Amino acid sequence: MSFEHKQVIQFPDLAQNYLFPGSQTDLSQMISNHSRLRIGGFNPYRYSNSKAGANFAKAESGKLVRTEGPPTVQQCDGHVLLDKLNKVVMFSPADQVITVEAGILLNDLNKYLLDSGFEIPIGLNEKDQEECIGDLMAMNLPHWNLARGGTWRDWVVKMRIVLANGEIVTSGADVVKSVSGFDIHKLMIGARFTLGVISEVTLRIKPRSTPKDYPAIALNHGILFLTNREGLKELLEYSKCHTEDDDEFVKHAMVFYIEDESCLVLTESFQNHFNDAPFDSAKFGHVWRSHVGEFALPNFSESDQKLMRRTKAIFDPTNKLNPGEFGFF
Amino acid sequence: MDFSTLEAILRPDQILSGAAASRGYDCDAYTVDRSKPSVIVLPETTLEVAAVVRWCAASQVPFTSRGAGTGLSGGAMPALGGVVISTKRMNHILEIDLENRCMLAQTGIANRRLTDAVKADGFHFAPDPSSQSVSTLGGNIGENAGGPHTLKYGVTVQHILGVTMVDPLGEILTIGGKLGCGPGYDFLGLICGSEGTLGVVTEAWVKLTPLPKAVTTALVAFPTIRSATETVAGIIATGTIPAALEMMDRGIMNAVALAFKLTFPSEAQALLLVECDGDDADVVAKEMESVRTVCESNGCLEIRIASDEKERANLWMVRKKGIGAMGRIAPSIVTHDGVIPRSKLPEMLDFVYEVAEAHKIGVANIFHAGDGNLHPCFYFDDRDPLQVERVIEAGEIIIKKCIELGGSVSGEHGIGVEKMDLMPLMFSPADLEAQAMCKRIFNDGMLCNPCKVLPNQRGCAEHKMRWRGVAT
Ligand SMILES: Cc1cc2nc3c(=O)[nH]c(=O)nc-3n(C[C@H](O)[C@H](O)[C@H](O)COP(=O)(O)OP(=O)(O)OC[C@H]3O[C@@H](n4cnc5c(N)ncnc54)[C@H](O)[C@@H]3O)c2cc1C
Repeated sequence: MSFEHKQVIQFPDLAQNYLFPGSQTDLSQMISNHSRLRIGGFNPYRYSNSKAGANFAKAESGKLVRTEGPPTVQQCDGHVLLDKLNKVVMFSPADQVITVEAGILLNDLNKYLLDSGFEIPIGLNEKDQEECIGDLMAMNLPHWNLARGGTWRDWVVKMRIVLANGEIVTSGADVVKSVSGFDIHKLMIGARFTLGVISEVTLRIKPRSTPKDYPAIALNHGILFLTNREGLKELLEYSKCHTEDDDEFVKHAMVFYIEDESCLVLTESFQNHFNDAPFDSAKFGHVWRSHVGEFALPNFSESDQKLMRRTKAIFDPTNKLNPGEFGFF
Repeated sequence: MDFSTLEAILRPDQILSGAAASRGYDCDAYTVDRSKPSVIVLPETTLEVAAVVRWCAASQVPFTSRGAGTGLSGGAMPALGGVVISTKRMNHILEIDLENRCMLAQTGIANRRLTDAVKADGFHFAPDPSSQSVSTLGGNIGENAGGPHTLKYGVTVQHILGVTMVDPLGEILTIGGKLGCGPGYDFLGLICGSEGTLGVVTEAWVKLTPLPKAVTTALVAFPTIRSATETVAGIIATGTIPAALEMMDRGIMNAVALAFKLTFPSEAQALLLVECDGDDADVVAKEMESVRTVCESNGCLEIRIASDEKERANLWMVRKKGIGAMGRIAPSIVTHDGVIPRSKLPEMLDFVYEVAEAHKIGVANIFHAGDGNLHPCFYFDDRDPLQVERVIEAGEIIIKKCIELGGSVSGEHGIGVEKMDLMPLMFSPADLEAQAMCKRIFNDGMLCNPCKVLPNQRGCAEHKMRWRGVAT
């Protein structure tokens, strides 16, 4: 089973030398044959690439400043998009797992699962559903159903990855639970294709549930609040204190989706910093949750920076894969 | 090697040595392979751990982290001797933040104590290995432990927000924290399940999960193994995800009956323990009704549903005390651990009994059926080398079958030394080299828990025969 190939060129200004691997072997060869590749089509939150605040980092003064961007596709040999890798490889309703190639759109996958009464409970908005799951995993964005649905890490049980040297490797197993060595697949989730390219995944799936009935707000950077409308107003006030150009920034960065009467969802937002005084969640009984968002290397903790540098040097010593991401120039 | 210089770092009462002490630390609950440490240290803080690790790095002495030593794959066995870093005295809760639903604790604390500390406030630490009264938070992180409630609540990694750890050179790293990990590479995901090979985790922020408001527990008896395994598949197929779905066979029933005077229907060959929970009592009751329908359609003999907390504890007894009760039947037990797709359970269990019979060893099964996570328990006498060999061979045959059926070498007990040689059955040389790359991010040498997880590590092969001891 495979889906119609939807070629969406997202960056008209960069539209040259797009590469569409038709198989995982193709992808492996493309990676072997190039020295600098941009990978993936899902960019709105990427470091230095989005209008919506992603190109801000925190300067020493504590203010947000615009940062340098990654090399554009012109500086890379090509831009790999996974769209054609969109086959369903294996589906076992009895075991509640599905294996798909990484270019399948989340929307197509969820439609496919719907017929059998299953879903992937990653609650992205409509626009993001149009992205392929490889890109979504590479970005590991927060989503409105985070508190219940968890992150991609909670659903991926096995992955095939094309490493920077073109080698195709497998991590994990087609079962819901496995402790079998070092979980490379967890390292790839949220790594923005800087360590390897996700080419195929096996996902746990769950029986479809009814829509959620509690309020939730997901912030881009790392925190999910369960809140109410009062709390939301308070949160907006709080968010403004982080931006230089409040109105412009907040307008760009925040999009609200009112899913139903009680469910408020904020899926795009502003930079939010761990080091700032936390939002007074006690006031409304909010619950802090963790997640990912936008950051550049200097914004990470010392431990993280050290480990990230070491990881990049081991997995992609020539900085072939998505140079510029996380500030690896 | 002069270990007395460790006294510059720790008090004398924090350093154990001598034959008796090292015998107590030469294996974990996987008793087949043994190797004695030279010294056991009992640090109390992260700084002390860091100082010990720096000492080991400077002196080129191997070291191995150890929690309660309940691991079942030899993870805490000091394969090349050296220093065992026991977290026994690092057992304090450092902060409880109910509002943000998290808690900071040292990693030597027993799993159960985390829940005990917040139970009255309506929370718990969800990972619940059956060893939870003794196994430690650090050991749970090391093995990414699961438990009967994994089916609904997930394994350890899903409940860890951040850790403080000491890397193999003695440097202190902080990964994630109260708010969990930010963006970037998921090192926390790598550390959970890395079996102490990436460093010593000294403190961890754990998530607190609200206790469900409604819980219903049933113990269901079946006339055949097959009818029970088919029920498991049937329940999952209805879309109900019970909080727990555990299976025990006649061998376990006999052991528990003997030890605790429990009774079961005489024709019963298998039991399923099913628990449904949630915040809405009506929904939970409906789920249990749906479970009952599937059980009845598969010809169950009896369904006991707990009507209060005391009865619930009684029903759980057969699951929780099952392995302990086996200990009364034979001098040694090896509990294997493999995973298969749930739909393959009936076929797989038939195979387990055939293998045990062919190898002339006793076997009983008690396992997380809902996850497809098998635990055949072989009971034998580990003073007899021939029995030990047969147990090892039978275990390997079973794990090979798990892989053949599309499963995994381990669901929760890890690779340790027990399953290193089985890894190539599941992974290609390129896959294993990529795993070795992950390890190198933290650990480039042979000092931090050497000779574990990855097969064919240089300098380990010659030690293998030495580990394979016979109990004395
Ligand atoms: C009766 C019984 C029932 C069991 N039931 C279950 C079950 O239901 N589910 C399950 O998953 N397991 C189960 N186990 C296995 C075992 O209890 C778990 O693997 C547990 O997590 C081990 O914890 P421990 O403190 O005993 O760790 P240990 O055995 O001491 O160590 C386990 C591993 O973790 C490493 N480690 C320990 N502490 C640290 C630290 N601070 N930092 C870094 N690494 C560390 C060690 O080096 C070793 O590799 C059971 C075992 C027994 C004996």
